[in-house]
Amino acid sequence: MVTSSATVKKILKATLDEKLKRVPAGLDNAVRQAEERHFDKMFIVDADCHQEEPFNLFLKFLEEPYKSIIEKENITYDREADPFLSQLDQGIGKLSHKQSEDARYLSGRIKRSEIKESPMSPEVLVQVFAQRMHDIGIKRSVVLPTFMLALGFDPRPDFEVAMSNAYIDYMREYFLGKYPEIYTMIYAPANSPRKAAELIDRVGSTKGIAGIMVTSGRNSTVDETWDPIFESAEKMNLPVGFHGVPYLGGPFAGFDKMISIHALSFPFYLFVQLTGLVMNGVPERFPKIKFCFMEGGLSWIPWIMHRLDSEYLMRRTEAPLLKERPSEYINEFYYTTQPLEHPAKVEDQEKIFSMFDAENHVLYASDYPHWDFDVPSVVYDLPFLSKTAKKKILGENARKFFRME
Amino acid sequence: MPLHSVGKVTLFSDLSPLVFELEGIFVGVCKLGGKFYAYENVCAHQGGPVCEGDTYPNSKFEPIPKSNPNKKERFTVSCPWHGVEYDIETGVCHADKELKLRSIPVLVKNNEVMVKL
Repeated sequence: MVTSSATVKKILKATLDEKLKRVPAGLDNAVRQAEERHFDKMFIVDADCHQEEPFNLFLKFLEEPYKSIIEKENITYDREADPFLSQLDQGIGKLSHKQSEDARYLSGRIKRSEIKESPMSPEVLVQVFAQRMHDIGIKRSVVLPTFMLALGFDPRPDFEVAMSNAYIDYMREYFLGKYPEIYTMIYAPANSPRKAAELIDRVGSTKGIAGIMVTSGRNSTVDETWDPIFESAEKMNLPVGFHGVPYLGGPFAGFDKMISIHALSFPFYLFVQLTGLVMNGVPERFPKIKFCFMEGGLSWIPWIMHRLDSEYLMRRTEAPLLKERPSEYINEFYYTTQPLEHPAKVEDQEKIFSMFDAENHVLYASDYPHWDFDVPSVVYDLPFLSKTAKKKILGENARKFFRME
Repeated sequence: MPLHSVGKVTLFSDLSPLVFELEGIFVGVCKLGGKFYAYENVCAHQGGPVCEGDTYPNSKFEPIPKSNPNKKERFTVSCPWHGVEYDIETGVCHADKELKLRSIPVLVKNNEVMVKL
């Protein structure tokens, strides 16, 4: 309950007041942070936020049998029996769907109203993302899917191809080019590299396409069979982002808690794909492509640099395409901040930022509206960053990476 | 620091914090076992509206150890943005003792709950 009595002096500006929605547990405090920090004067880009795909709007872009698979997403359908839909439980394999929802939102303790809008209609999406993100200081949002991040492990490569085409057609029809603040990335069906290349060639020049996104959790790892994807990326002058994923299988099958799965699986699949990318010489063979690794935080980056460098010292002949140490390539990649770690000593975080070219290669991301989202002040308030570094990480690096206007 | 009345004592129920806008600052006031606690409605993690979150006894998630069955029950408020939890009596975060809510002086005078800002 928010009250004001006759004795309460209101000092909020009208412009701020208009932005405050006064929704319990809403983003008003982030709006105030934006006011206090003058985010309106900064170019802030959210390099990774999400929608919960409204699959009903995909139907007109899908043919059979894929249309029926999506139509079956209802409570009468046995979700557990479908490889993709069962993955919608997002990595809580031992729990029922209801229990999984409870786990993700901490038994209802996470209460932001927008997480209840599932799936979001296009109107709600625009309202929530474009308007609300602007209120908290964000000028451009790269909106990516949520459920489709689990598609990499689906055993039906043709289904991944169909869904990735439907996703981008849905985005083209409803958003791209119509809302200049909203961008997306092409979901590359990397289990079918040639089909992925065809998709990139088909839609890569669409206004609002910021790049190509590979969901990193999959049973295949970057090798030369992925070359068609990179050939198309280079041809279309598009950056490639690998996105983390919560996954219940593989090494995580034994975990019984979301805290365990979530903490490890996101960076895990990022460094799996990064290792394949580097050791197969992709940066040497496709030097024009910019690569990004998304939603794994930042603290794993020095670890993987040191780990791969020490192996390379002894086993260089297994990676003959490399002309430099692995860390030299890794230092040229880009990384999104979220979920930014909170080490007990801030000087430890400063050290991590100094162990790679963070000032020029880190992009702020919110992951909004997911449960572990980061507001822009998480970066802005880091005490060791210069004003210039803050500007770069919050927006200018993304402008460069995505070639945004 | 002026005193601001935020209502009669009877307005408050145990573990049901109310949030008031006072001098442009949002303050959550919580009654617990006959005492009042007040904090700025800003989570020490990312600034979320912590006082608008769930409140519950610690024993909901932390079983009382058998070795100390008479240990005093404590109570928690959980930020609705990310679920970060704080002890209602101290404002200290359970998971990171360095994170603390900004405590606001609160007292009862003539049956009125008064916040000092």
